[in-house]
Amino acid sequence: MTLARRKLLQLVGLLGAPTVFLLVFFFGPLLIMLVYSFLTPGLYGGVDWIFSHLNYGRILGWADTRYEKFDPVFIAIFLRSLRLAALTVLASLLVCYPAAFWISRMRPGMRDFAIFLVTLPFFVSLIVRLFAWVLILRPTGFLNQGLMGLGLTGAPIEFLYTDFAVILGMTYVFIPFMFLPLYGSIEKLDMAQIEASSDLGATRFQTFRKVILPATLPGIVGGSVITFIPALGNFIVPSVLGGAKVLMIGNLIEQQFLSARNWPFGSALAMLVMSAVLILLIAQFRLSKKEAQA
Amino acid sequence: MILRRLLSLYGLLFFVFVYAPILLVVIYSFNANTLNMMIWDGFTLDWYRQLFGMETSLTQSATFVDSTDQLWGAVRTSLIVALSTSVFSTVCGTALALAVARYRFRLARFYRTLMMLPMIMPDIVLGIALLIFFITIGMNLSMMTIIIGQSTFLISYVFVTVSARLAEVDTSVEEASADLGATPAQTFRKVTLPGIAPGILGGWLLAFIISMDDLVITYFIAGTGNTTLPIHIWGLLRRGIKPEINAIATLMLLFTLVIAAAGLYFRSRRQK
Amino acid sequence: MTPFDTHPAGLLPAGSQDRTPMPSPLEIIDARKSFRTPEGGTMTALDGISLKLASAEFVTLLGPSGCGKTTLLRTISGFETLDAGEVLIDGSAVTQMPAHRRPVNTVFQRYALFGHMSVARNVGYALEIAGRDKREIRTRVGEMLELVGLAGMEKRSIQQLSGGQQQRVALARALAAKPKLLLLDEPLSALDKNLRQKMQQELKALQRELGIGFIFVTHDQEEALTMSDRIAVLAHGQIQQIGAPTELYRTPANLFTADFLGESNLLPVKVAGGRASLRDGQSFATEHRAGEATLLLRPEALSITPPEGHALSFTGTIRETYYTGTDHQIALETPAHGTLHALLRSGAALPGLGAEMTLHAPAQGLHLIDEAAP
Repeated sequence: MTLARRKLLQLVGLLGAPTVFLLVFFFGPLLIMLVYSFLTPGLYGGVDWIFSHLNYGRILGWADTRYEKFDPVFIAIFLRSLRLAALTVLASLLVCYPAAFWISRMRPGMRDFAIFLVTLPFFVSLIVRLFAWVLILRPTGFLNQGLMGLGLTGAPIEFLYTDFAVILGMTYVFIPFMFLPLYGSIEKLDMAQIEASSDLGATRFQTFRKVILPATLPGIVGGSVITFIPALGNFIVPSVLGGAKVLMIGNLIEQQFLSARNWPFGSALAMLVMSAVLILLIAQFRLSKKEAQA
Repeated sequence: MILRRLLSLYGLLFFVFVYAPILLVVIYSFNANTLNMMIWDGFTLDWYRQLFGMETSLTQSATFVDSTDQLWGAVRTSLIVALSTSVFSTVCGTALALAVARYRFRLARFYRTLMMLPMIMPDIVLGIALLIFFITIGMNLSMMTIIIGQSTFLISYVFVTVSARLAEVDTSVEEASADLGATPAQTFRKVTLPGIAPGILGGWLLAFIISMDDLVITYFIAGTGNTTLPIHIWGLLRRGIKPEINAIATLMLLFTLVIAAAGLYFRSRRQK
Repeated sequence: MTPFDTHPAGLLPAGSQDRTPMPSPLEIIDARKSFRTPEGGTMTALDGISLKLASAEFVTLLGPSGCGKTTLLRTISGFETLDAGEVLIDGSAVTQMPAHRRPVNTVFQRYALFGHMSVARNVGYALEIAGRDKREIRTRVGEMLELVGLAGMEKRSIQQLSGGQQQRVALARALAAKPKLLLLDEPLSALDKNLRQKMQQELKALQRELGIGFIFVTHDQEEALTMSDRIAVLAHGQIQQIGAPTELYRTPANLFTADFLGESNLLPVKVAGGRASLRDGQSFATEHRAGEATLLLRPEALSITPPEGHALSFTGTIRETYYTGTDHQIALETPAHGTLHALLRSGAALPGLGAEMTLHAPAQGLHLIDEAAP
């Protein structure tokens, strides 16, 4: 046996089984979902193997005019999900950026411990963390009791089951996603550059805008993308904190599978989410590549 | 200076934001008030006693009916699934990481990009895709489907963790071993494995924790009768909020902390 | 007494008194290897290299980084596969043999010691792998540590050792299994200058004592000149020249070797009718073939006082002088030949910077390179 052949055999031994597994159980399902999104829903759930583009039509504007008219409700839900995800990203940035900056200026031992503390909740059960916010936000909850105790409000305010609660909840559970990329780029900041900037007469705000912000932009973009992606397709947070009032695309997809039993339509919705995610990732990849070249 | 103080204040508030909700749950798990769980009414262990089937002074209305048996059933399912999934994912993820890091082949870069996909794929997309897939190929939803489904993305987590460690282990040490007559298997056992063991252990723990916590994907492919712990709590939450959840949540928290602490301990031991 | 004065029995190869002709410890025949670059191109690392060790020689592969010397070493140890060509060790082909079966051992550039094992387990690794019994391994490890001057250090952990000690452990480890050939991949580059010179001497002595072939890779020409029986100068994946250090230094075959080994003044000459003429009209007798060629003048060949007999002389302005303790280095700017470098024994009275000065070289025994000057 030649040396090259021997190495090839070892390589196949390592790659073979996992590759087959992922091809079958990761790409297989995605492919079948793509196929389903072009099929006709069966009468009693399931599918009829008849090609149909109306699953996408229902969402994007060409409905089957015989049985139903085009209803912009689906695209509205999708746009609303985009908006909530974007607001979550914004809120996460506001929460995490100053904190990351603060931690990056600590002495090394403290710094590592602080980062550990920030990432630790990621390992705490998601459902537990959301439950905690239910306790805080509900009418008899901590927040309302506090507000009423201070006399700021007479009657309990409805926090739970609002957009606010959903954005707050998603911001909270995705903190490590935003924090770590941000921290990564803030840590690399050269303090000498900041000093040089103020030495050359820039105010603090100017220094931030002209030196710090551009230098940490990769972290901002990276953190935003990986926060936006799980926020967009999320259905747990809106289910727990948004109740029936705040419907996101994730909830809509779930309904198609578990109550409406319209799998092709649900598949089409899922394809929409996946496309949005892929477009975003490709855009970010292009951007970072361009930046690396510059 | 004022700016710096403000930043410190903000930083402290940040940690309050991160930890206060979790602490709140822990504190209220010891609250004796059965009617309004937000009003402190003395210390009690009753909620925990209730979970372990011990005598309590709690009335029927304060607790979820029949929840204890279901709870322990769910814990059992979760542990079985998490153990199987994490072991399988660790083997696959490590093998892929080794192949990509230690062999020159055309597809290596392609693999590295590819392994990111399962991690960034939105849960719900992967969850329903798996559901359709299992139904279409006629596979009954069972613990097996959960294990398979979770493994599709947990392999990626292990891959990333082990790859990071492999990048730190000098390849020349492995070459030295081969040079001194060790077969590839011997080199792996005596040199590579001790070097990347912390990464493998870390990847395994990570996979275990994520598997224990996975709700969305499991939710779609669990079928009936295979309730995992997160799905069980999810169900409880939909039935109403009772103080018992505080106790369950606190126990889960404790469990996670023990595993995270173990992970950190092993890491620090290696670095010596 | 150096650590190598006493050597345990059994380290000399069995064949050293043998009458029958021994096979060459290493023979490489027309080795070719190219790599794909990340940009998608190909890079030729080995472009038809042939090399044969006559006996247990100390051969150095010398060249700038990227010349293929490390790749060549790795094809001998088995970490790279050849695209074409053969590698023979001790007369048998090993081209398709994986690294772990080849009877050669390597001292790695940064030692590549096993950090999670003791010194003793590092040194005994090859024997442990070969399944030798514990007592034999212990004895052998003791001998090897004594050989490299680390007797009694068995229990130490690698992290407790200095760079020089790690180097010695790596050496002991590579020699423990009695390899037919020892490969050394820039093993001294991480050591400071004093230690490096000491190790150079010890390595040379060790090679003589063990009587096995050493293939030593370096980019340090001084190191190569000091230690080697023969030097192979590599560039662009080819052996530019191979020979004894003095031969390479005095009569380099091409401009690359002349320039890479030591300082040199390279002057273009035209050869016609048995005479070589310099640009400024001076000429000398030569047997070189007619045409364009290059005259090699080493800096130390130039002197202030004219040698007896016919001589070449160069007049110019002193642009730089450096005093090194034993010598003066001078850069002389000449109208016809640009800047010439000279090395003059200190003690001679030198004119100052900017002064005019004439240097001489004997016109006999001059070496001409059969290549037009750049």
